[in-house]
Amino acid sequence: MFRRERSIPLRCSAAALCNNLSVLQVPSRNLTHFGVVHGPSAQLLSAAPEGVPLAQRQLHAKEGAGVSPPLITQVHWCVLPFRVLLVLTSHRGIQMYESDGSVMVYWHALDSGDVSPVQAVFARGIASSGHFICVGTWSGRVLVFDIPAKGPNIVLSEELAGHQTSVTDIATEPAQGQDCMADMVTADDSGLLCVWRSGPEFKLMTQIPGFGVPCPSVQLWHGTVAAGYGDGQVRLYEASTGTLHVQISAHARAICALDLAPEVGKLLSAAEDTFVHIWKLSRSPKSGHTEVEHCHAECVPDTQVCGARFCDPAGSSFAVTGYDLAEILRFSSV
Amino acid sequence: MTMAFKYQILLCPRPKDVLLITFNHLDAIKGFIQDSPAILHQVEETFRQLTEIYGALSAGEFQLIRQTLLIFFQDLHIRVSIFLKDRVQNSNGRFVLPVSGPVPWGTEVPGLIRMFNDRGKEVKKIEFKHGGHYVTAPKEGSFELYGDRVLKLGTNMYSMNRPVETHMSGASKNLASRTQESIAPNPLAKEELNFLARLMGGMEIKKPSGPEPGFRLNLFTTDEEEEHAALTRPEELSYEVLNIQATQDQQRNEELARIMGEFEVMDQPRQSASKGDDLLAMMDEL
Repeated sequence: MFRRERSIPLRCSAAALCNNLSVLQVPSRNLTHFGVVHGPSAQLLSAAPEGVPLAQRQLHAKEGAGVSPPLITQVHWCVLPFRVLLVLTSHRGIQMYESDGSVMVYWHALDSGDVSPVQAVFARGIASSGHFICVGTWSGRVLVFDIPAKGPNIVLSEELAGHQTSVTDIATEPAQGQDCMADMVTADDSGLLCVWRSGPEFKLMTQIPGFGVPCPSVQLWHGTVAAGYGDGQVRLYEASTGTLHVQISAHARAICALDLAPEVGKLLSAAEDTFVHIWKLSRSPKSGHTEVEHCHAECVPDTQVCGARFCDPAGSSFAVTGYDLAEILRFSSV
Repeated sequence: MTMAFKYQILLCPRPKDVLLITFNHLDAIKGFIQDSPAILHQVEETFRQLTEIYGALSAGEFQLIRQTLLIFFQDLHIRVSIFLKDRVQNSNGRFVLPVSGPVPWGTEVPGLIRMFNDRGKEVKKIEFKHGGHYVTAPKEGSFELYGDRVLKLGTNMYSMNRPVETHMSGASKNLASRTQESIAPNPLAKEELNFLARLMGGMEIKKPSGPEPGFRLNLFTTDEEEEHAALTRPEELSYEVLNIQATQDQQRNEELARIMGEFEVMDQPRQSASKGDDLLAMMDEL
């Protein structure tokens, strides 16, 4: 059971974007950092366990030639082996900051090339794998950046082609040290999932076809891909083979965020239908298949949820943002 | 207007349904100009161009359009009387998001977990409690030139057949409060009866209080039409004011007093706030 905690006030409300909440835990200082996109700006704030906001910072997308400031599509903290970077994607490009958002260490402008002016050009979908940061783009290409242990000497090492439509989200998990282990999955607007193995050269392992319904959020846990779709379905696939194991009619509206608590295998799904559900994933000891159990349903009345994340690796607390809502709602188990 | 637009975009069940909302607008326009084939042709051409440009967009692209529009309307919380009255907007300016009624077309009613084995055979089925009360979508709205759009968003929100979803949590409460409203006396009726009482001389004439006391007699259905008629009235028809000194006529007063005497109430006279209430109560008893 979860109970509503004191919410954290935001200076500006959250924009209607999928995965519009990033959470970074700093256990050493007993702090939690939150990142929320407002529209043309993004807000970072750190909060103590009681929910008192301590420091706030606003980030803006790099201005371009356009008349209106470019819209931000996502902010996300990437935890790399030696450092933590904050990545911000917009309709103009990709910005990478030190984890507190104080210094911009890298800027990558999106090359719109010769696409027609009506085509929206943007980057969306951020994840880190080893010492790489992967960012999806409108064209379906996934950019892989090689991040040095320190300093701004970031290089674009590879461009992955696997998607024909805009990338929506990317999920990774630490490689288990085995060969042929899939450790990254990318999703797109047509619902297609691409499963990759990271390395000096990324290798496409499997493609899981979509159904024409976008897949706004994806997660990876112990070789199982959890994908949330625009028709409210959550599907669990075997990452290496692409076999469908579980199909959940989870929500009545488009899913906008999934998150995993890796220590316990809890999955969180949030959708525009104002509901947040918590699921427990497990491996059946008999068949070895992934099984699912429903744990908790939380309704956030009259709020089109746009972001939701667990706040600790054990999945005992989570935070939710909603469109037009100038606060981060927090829930913790009792 | 802005809030109505925001409402339509926010409540739109699937991103693609923004197109159905637009088609509802066009259907209404077609209704207005149905007697003019030339304009009708232009509206149909607009429809054709909309279908040509937006018809082929994917669900993802429609979601991007919808999200961008929602960012445009972000932080606008203007309260609109018709929305507040219909309980689709809360007093803080946020819209009510229903958690019941039909799911969008192509979406399954939430509440079922299905598990499959390696060969794709369903091996287990578990139901869970979602928390909402949804039903399956009846049918998909038509994206053709003529057809049933199913979706009511984007239709005339002032029409009696309200476009709002009635499947919200407080639906029964809503109904109850409406009945209550109809039981409560119409203030206009009271005012009219008071006027009648004054004409009959049974009530003393007080100085008018408030900005617009009493009632006005309209010859047309709405105030707008009344004003329009006043503006377009030909000059040669001058005002001719007829004064009726009904309250001053002593002889008629006697006659009226006799008629009023006939309305004798057998029961104990009730303690009422005003003469108007008395007359209303009297009529109820007749």
